[in-house]
Amino acid sequence: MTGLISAGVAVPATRIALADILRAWRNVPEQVVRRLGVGGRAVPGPDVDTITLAAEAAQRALTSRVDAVFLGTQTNPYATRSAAAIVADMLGLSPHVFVTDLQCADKSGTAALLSAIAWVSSGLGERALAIGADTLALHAAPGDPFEYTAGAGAAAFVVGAEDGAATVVRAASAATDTPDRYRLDGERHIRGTGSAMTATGVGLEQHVKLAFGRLGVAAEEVGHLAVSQPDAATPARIAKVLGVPGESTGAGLVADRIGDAGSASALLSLARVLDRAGSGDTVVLLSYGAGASSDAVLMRATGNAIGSGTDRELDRAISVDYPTAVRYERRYAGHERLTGTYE
Amino acid sequence: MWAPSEPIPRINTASGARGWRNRHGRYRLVGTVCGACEAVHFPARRICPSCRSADLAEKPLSRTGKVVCAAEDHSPLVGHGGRPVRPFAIIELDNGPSVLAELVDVRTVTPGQRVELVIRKWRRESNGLYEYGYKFRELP
Ligand SMILES: [Zn+2]
Repeated sequence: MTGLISAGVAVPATRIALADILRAWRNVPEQVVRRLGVGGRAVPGPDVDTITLAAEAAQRALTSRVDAVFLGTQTNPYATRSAAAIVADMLGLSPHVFVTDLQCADKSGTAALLSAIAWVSSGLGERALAIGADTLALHAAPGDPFEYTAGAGAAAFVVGAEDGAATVVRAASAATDTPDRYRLDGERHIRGTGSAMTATGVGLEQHVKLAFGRLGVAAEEVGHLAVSQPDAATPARIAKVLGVPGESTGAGLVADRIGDAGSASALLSLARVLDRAGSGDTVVLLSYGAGASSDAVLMRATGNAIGSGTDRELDRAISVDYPTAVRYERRYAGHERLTGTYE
Repeated sequence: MWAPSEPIPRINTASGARGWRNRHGRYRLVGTVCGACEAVHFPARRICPSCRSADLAEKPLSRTGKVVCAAEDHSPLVGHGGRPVRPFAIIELDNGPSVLAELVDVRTVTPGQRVELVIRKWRRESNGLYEYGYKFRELP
């Protein structure tokens, strides 16, 4: 039996109201922004990146020794260095540890979790740490509609060979060549390929359907759907596409307060679900990564709350205005200038 | 590689090797405890400043503590331009010495406030690497 034993999350405390971004740009009709259901999105501070978020979430999740670290991200500040290795050292883990980074757009986080589940189930190790972390906000072009929702966050789970808070029943995945959102090597900003691919969500709907359809669970049996959330309206939309009960997305809603947390999104949603799921509840984790791919994991909650403190992290909010967000996220490239000790 | 729009400071920060050697201190407040007089030091020492003993063992200090006193820094060091004003505090750790550290995600700082360690970016070293280290945030 493989289960999720403990969890921890990290979300930047600084947030910006979408109304403030709209006031700066006035490039999208107000009702379109309101329809996203996102009040404010996370703004990573000037000293925050994917590695610091991952380390914070992992530190809170870590309650026991682990022998592997899987870190899923599409925004590693290093193009070649393993962020998982840095995080493992930050946590003070023994150097006898297997580490790897996984990159699969917004589903990097569930790819990491599935790898951890496979690691434990195969007997390669006893306990594995899976982390999903992203700072999409740093990769949204100024004035791009993506800037409204691109947030940041991290979530980490310890997976072990015991029941824990939820036991893993089955997993299924899907992937095709569907170019809807991407960032090329050498570019900073994530691009969409236009309304025909992105606004209609054709990739999203197809892939979640394909993955969920292979789980072998009746749609009406789903108690909690923990799903990737580019915005707060998407969970309800996916529930409708799959035919699962609308109320199953309630416990896992996180995007309304922090926006799109990228590869952390579905895992943050799962952490919030497992903080409150009842014994025997059917939980489905469902991710979507642009490009495009989906993972679905069927789990049975044991009724032991995982204690991730997700609500506490979501509630820890400090509002910042648009100029502050511009400075924090370094939206304008400054001169390469000669500096002294002080700036 | 995307341009991180974070200029690499053209000043001499600590060498990459020095930054690497002291990382356990930066990440996890690993200090030293004296086998002879039991004094606890941070940062880590090679010789005990109290009794000159060389019999020192590494010891991670507590990740939580409380603010003793605080002040604001208005002249940001290189790499800290994003926050024009940074609160600093002397923090008395729960099981050891006090450390001077930056506070993050705080609105007001009051002595006695409980705080916990979080790892954040300190700056970019002159060789281009990111240097990460301890900062503190309020405990709820
Ligand atoms: Zn001594």
